[in-house]
Amino acid sequence: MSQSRRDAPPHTAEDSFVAPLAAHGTHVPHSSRSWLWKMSEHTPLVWFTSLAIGGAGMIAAAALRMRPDPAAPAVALAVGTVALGAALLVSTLHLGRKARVPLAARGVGRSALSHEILLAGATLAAGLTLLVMNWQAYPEVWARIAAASTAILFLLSIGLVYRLGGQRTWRGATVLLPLTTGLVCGEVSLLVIGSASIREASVAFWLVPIDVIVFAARWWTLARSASALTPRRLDASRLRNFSAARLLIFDVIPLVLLDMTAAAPAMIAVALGLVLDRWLFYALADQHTTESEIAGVEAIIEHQSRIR
Amino acid sequence: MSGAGFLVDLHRCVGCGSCVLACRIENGRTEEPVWRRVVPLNLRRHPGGPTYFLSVACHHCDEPACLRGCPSRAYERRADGIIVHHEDCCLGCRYCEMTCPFGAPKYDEQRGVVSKCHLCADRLDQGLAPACVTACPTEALQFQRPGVAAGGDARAGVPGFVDPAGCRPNIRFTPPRGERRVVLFAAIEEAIRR
Repeated sequence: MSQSRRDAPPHTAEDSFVAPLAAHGTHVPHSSRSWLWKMSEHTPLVWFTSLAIGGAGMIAAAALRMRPDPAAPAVALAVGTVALGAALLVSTLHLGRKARVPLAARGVGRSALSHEILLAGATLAAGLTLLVMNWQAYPEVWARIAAASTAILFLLSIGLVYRLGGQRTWRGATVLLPLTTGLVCGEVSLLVIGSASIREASVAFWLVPIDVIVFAARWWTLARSASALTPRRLDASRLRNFSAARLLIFDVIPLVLLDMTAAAPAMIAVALGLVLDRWLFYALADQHTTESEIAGVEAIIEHQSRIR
Repeated sequence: MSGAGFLVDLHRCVGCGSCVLACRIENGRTEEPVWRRVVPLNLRRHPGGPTYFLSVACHHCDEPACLRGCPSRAYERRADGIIVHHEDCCLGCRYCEMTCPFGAPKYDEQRGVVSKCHLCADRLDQGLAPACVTACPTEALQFQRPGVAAGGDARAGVPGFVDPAGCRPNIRFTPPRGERRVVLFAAIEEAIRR
């Protein structure tokens, strides 16, 4: 290969963007440009998962708390079912061929995404069934346990869909986040509209710390992958700021407000925190490709040449 | 390699892009997305440093993440190991883009479906080599028949190409030879090991 070929000027759009900065010795993350673009691409999924997690969490919490005071859980059940239904509608927005949605069931037994979609449908059906049963009489215990179990399985399946070998930031404790955030959301919603008996038996003060532990584990994993010797696109300060904001809005503020028996503001904070959590999840996606791997190798070479 | 795939000779590849052009012409892909691409290692950051080119497309993996993840079973493995994608079954959900650690499936915004390299299966059925292989002027890109082990110094991974998801891609690389190998290729591997 000739020298002129090796030293050829950048020839792609991204090179044109990066080269002026790189020429001045500025470290430019390989995919820095794509951060905002990724968010516009993932917006329907942010809303789908936010609504689905919140809705399924409400269904699970309400189904388990229908006795002795069924009135408040019934409201939470109705809101959760509507939210989940809306989530399913929103989920179709990002499909290229919306009319082919029924084909999504073909992957059952193999595809985690098919399992998630089927469980979403099953949770919606369970919520509706429980609402109808509640209209007539107290739902039977088996019906409530079945509905809650389906909702919990659905929350777990959301995490499993994104446990992918080529995604460094969606592994480990991240898989459990939809479950913990969903259950927190459901429990706090019951406190907003619940009676004194529900408030006394609330497990929100247990669920929130569990979510803190799970999120902290994810945060720790992300911080390690963003270390200097792992040349990825994750920017440490951005990660720290957004993760701290998420922890504050979803966990700390609601916990303080619940302690002050201000359940309604706590629910607002939880809802905002849930959307921020899902936004952060997609914003910090780190898709492995040959290009990203090569960018990593180039950064290692650069690092080695600096310390020599 | 158990299925059909590619062998890339990093010593011979000059990054001319003939394979990319041939792929586009053969498959009528005049606009994005492009199935095959040539990814240069260290072309721009360190002009005096090691450089080689990875010509990559779909690797028709033995354990394909796209096939496992697809909710509509739009992916199918042929008897010769080629992973074909049936666009008429594709939802356009782009989940395969997330699952594939090599960036092989590409979403076509205009048509609302994903597409990817099919290893010129129709040409293979006629006894012809894939278009990209035929067009390579230095014979750096070669077709590997199913069940035939890549001989010589061929290896599954090189700096810049790893298999993080256990997909077992059917692509092998022959490292640079002679002085280039000692000075350049080995230096990168040494840097990564540290």
